[in-house]
Amino acid sequence: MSLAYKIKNREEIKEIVKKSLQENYFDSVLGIFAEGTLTPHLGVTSKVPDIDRLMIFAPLMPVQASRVISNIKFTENNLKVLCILKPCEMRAVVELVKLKQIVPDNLFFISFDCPGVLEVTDYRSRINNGKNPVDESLASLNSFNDFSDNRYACSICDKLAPKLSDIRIRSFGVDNYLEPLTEKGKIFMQSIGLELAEVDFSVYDQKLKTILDKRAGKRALEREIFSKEVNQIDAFLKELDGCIRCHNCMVNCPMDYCKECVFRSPVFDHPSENYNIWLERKGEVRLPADMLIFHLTRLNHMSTSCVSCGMCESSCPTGIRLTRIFSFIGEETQKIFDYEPGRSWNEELPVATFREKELDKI
Amino acid sequence: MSEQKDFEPKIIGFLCNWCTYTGADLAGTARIQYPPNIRVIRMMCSGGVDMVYVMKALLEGADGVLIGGCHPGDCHYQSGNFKARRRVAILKKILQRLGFDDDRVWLRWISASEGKKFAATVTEMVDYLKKKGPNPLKSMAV
Repeated sequence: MSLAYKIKNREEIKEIVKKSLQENYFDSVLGIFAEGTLTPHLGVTSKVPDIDRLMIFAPLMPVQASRVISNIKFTENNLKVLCILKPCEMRAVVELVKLKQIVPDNLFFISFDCPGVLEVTDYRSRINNGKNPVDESLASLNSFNDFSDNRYACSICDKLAPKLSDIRIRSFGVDNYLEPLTEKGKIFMQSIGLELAEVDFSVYDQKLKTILDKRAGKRALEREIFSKEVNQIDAFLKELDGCIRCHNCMVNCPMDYCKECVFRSPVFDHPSENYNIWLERKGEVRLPADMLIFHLTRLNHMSTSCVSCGMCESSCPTGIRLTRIFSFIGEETQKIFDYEPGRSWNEELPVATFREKELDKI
Repeated sequence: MSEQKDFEPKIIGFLCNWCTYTGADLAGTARIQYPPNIRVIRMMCSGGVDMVYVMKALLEGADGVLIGGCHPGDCHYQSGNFKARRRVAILKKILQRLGFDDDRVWLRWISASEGKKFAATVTEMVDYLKKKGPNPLKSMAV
């Protein structure tokens, strides 16, 4: 049994958001907004009429919201912002708070049980073919089903229910609930006049488990295929085939926030005499140089915090299957420290802490 | 891999200023003999060694990388060596997983008074790498 508020329909959430703006619980709302026939985009607004265009269950993730939130220093203008996030974005927020890139004091997080999203290109081609992916997504929610043909990262995501947001929207099925997960969430819901009642979610959780199991099964299978396919240098290079080192994966990854990143600095602008050495020693030099070390460095620097959102793959212009690489290798580096990104506010980042007695065999 | 004649491994050493570097100095002033295969880069702390440079050394063809720090608990900056240990653990896991030779990266605690240990470590590493053979990445176009 847990405390929750039953909503009449999904549209009621927008009314609640509007009311919270009108009654100054929040100064603005950050979420995905629709705009006519254009691709829905992430936006922030403080105007109540804009909320009509808010798409809480948007079947696409144009950018990782956590990355945007970390770039906007909401604390500097003291805006109280209601953020509507997907569970993977919420996990990334947790990591970025730990990394001191987000100050959560004035932020309020609503997240929902996520059926998965489409790649933006896929979303647009469906629209162009006269389909309505938004309705398709809602239909799968209504029938308590996974959103079929969702992104690769979503299809292997077994963490589709938010754990640390202030409010969790139990969005599957026809009866939807708002469930406060924190004291802050509970106080907000009560003060805005939403009556909380004890609700038994055992049937809901059981049904959700079917989706989770399906995805976990696919994840295990994919992990096995990946570990068989990619375990040698040659295979890894083949996997990275087509990389033009555009850094899109880094730019869109919520964990690659460093302004002083070596790959944003001249460290890898080599003097021309270096090329003489390479030409002699290595034969052909692949250009732009340092493609392999770029990916290896990302693995070293961020894989312990990889939330498996798949934005690296979504933003890759040459379609490299980066989710597999980062999600599965990340899982292994996280396992060394028994760490799971976005699982808890209290778990320390593996790279920011240590134990005196550990890792004896290194 | 078979031992190759005339193969002299090249080792890049990232040594902490307060312990291992001073230990290497001691090995020199005490005239302890050790093979001249190591090229030393003085770091202020083993915790300041970014793994990107360790990997760069390997991809450029260094046969081994030695990271030397203070003994646990002795770090001049309290916890740098502990953090280095975690980073090396992550690096080794990734190298291992992708089929690189993770045993070419050594992390050792050598204090300022352990000149002998420094010489012994370098000797041991050179012997090990001679048996292992040259780094295949040296001639690979990566």
